[in-house]
Amino acid sequence: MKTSILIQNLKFSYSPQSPLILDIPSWHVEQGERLFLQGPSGCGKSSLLNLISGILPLTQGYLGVLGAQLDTLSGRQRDHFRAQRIGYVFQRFNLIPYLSALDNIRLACIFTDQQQDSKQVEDKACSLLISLGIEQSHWHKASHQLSVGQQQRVAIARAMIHQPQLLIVDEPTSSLDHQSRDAFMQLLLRQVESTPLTLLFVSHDHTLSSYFSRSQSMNEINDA
Amino acid sequence: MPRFNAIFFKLALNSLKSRQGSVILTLLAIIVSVYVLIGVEQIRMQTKQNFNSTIAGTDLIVGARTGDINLLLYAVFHMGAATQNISWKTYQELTTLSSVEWAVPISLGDSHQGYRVTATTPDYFTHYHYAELQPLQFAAGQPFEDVYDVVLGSEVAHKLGYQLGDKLTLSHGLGATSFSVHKDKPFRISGLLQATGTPVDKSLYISLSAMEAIHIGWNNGANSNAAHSVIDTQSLTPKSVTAVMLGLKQKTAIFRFQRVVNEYRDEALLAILPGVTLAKLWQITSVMEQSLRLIAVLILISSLLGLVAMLLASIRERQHEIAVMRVMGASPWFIFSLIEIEVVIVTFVGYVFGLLGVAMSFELAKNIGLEHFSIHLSSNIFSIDQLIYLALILIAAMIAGLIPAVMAYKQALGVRLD
Repeated sequence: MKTSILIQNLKFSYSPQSPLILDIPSWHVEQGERLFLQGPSGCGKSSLLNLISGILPLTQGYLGVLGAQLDTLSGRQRDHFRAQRIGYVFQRFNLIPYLSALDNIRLACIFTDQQQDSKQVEDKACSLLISLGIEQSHWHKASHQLSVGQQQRVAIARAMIHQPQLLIVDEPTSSLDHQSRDAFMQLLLRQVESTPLTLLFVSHDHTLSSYFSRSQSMNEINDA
Repeated sequence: MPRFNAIFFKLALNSLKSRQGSVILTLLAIIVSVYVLIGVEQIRMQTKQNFNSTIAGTDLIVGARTGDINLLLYAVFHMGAATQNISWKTYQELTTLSSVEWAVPISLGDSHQGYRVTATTPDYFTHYHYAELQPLQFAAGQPFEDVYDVVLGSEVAHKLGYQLGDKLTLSHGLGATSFSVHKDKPFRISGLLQATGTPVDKSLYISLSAMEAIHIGWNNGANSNAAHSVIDTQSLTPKSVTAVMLGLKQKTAIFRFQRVVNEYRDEALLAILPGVTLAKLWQITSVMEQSLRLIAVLILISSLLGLVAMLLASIRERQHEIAVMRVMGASPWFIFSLIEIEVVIVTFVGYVFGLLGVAMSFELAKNIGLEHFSIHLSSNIFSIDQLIYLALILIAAMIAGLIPAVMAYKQALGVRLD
């Protein structure tokens, strides 16, 4: 089985003087795996996700994501890499507030290199929105008019439109109530069910681990 | 480079729309400044054009020796007064010179309610041209035939409410309230000229003999009240004229002929080329012209700074958007371009409305301009020049836009996802 994320001797701090935030001797995620990574805030979760998605440059160690060695890529190459191969869902503020749900999805597509005609994008976006339970009357509304739950579901569509190989989901349910949280989890898992993508789900809430086949805690992998 | 497709512009437009309030205010500031800039520039260009087309088709103007601008001012603009006249003999000698095609003498000195009277020959109406060789045209009537006929410029007729056939008297001297009036010799209006936007509109035209006739018995500028019920037209040949307008057979001979006149032995004369002297006179206004321009440019700069301030303030509240775009894979350059395209959109829209505003204002002010200021305003201001202004304004805006765009770039580069 191939690995999706491979880390060796990774050390990270925001500046040479400040204390180490991440010190990961070895960690990997298999391709197609659905992994739950649990940890309280301030444990280095977000820094790790910033590194994996290529937002932050790595200073020390080896970081391989989907076969690309991120620590050797330039900022521009990492942006390109992220646009094409990674999907990302935040805790909140996932959408450009003044664009409609559909336009948010269309926007995500212009950064990928895939030469898709707009009709194809349109069809894919529509079927994603339907399967995520967004009513058609909401598709053309500015996204700030949608409820937080709806926004989070549109965010999944936005993150998956370009068929990423790695989907990173960072605390997506923390602004949802209990009921919508369960609905959200079920929708998300159903979306990825039949796909070969790797899902990295990060949360402080360990009760969510029941949805996943494998779960790990940040302090198991991070020595810092 | 980001692909500048439809969704990119939609993103920029919606982003501006989402900040409507401040965007509209900034837009208004830009509209006003573009309006001022183009308005000032257009008035400057059109008045200059108007000014330069005051007289055309006349190759030389000859008067007694004085400053060239002075001669132009009194002979064409009817401003100031001639200190010396040319003798009738000299005028006749000029007309006999072989290279002269036509010569029209003018004699100044009287007025009617502040409007200057020009005494001349009927040839004046065929040889005086303005703008692109447009001849004078009669709105009504015809040139003077009888000694006591007068032709009125359009402004004189409109302001004073004269009709064809009305009678009026002329005043001696140039004041609006002259005490010495040629009351005993009323003139009949034989013709009314169409508006030209030149000093012609402000003039009254009589024949040279009329000028002589009304001054019979006037010695040293006062009416001696001599009885002269019968005027012998034979004796009405003037002794002198103020200036002579000349047309030459060959345009290539102008400079040679000018020298001949300037070196004329019997009398100290000056010949000027109207076009050259007009341009020289216009130079006097260049300081004002430049300062008006400078003010307009400063207003534009301040409005662009307003745009920059508005965008700078928006960058802080846009950090979520920027993070979202970054996570989608947008490079910092994309964010930079987004800010610049917003600058371009606002400036372009401001420019278009400013330009339309100027065109509309000119259309509305057309009649007022011609009637009150003798300025022929044209609302047709759309030309290649405007595209150059647009380009310059856009470049200035994009340079100013570098400030918020670089800030957005830095913000994008330092984005942390959490």
